[in-house]
Amino acid sequence: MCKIYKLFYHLIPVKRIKSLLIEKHFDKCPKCKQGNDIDSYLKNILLSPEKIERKQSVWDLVKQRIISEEKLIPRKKWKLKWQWAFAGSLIFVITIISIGYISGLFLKKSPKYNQKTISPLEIKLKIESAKIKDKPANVYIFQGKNHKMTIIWVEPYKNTGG
Amino acid sequence: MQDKEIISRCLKGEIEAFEVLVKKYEKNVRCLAWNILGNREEAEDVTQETFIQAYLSLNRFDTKRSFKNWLYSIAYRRCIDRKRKEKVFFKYIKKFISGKKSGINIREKGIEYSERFAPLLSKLNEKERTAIILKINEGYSAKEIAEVLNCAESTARVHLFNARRKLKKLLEEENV
Repeated sequence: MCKIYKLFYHLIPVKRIKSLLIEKHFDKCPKCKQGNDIDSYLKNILLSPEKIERKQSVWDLVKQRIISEEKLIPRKKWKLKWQWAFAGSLIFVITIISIGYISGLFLKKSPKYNQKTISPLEIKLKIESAKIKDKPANVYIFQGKNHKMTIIWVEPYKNTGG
Repeated sequence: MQDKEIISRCLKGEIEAFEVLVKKYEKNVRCLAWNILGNREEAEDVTQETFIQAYLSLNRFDTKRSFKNWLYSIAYRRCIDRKRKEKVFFKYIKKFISGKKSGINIREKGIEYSERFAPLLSKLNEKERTAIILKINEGYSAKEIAEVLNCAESTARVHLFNARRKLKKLLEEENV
């Protein structure tokens, strides 16, 4: 082999340049080619497909395993789908709970907000009629002084004779 | 019948059609695995696993590619996986039990195979070994070797060159 090219080949770490060296020099230079030509010798000593003897084909074993693997695949797919469905529903539930919790926080604030903005005097309550089991009923409205609480009392109609 | 026709039949669910491909390429796959792993039993396992994996992922096979090269690339990856696992789990155990370095052993009954070449092959790394096997047995070009090794053509050329150079040196040392 040409020593200068050999040295150059060892020094260069880049495979692309090494490949170029092989292509442009080592494969073409008669001296280098001869120095590296061991293919015919290797062909005699290397294990080749022709040298392998086997009475039985692997087909039967391969077929058995393919059939069993194919049986397993739909189960795996189902399992995967089931897992995705479970994950999806879990995310949905968590989202609903989160929304409920967050909106709950806001809802708690809303009465205070109403109390501040609407004056108690503006609250008017009027009940036109009330019935208990399709019979007219008496209605009593009790309202606190500060108008924070209103109690509506409904009872069966009694003729007080007034 | 061409490989592509057989593949399209397999994809339609005709498992029996795959038998043709198995019988056509099993020797080649076994030979590659045997040369890489240096063990007949493991090579048998890899051959089976290669065909099973090939069948189950046939829908991902690009019909523009050579089926044989694709099979070789699967077999190569399987062999590398085995080697890696073996290295991790059994390297020290083997050394401890046998007191010998784990090497390649391709000696088998009924096969006229040079005993000298086994230790020579073990001196090469898996990529160099695969590259030289494909070159010698199949007459593959650097481009085809690259397809199997899943690397650049230039890298495959370097692997092949290094393998030749190392083997030449080793053979010279042995005064062949």
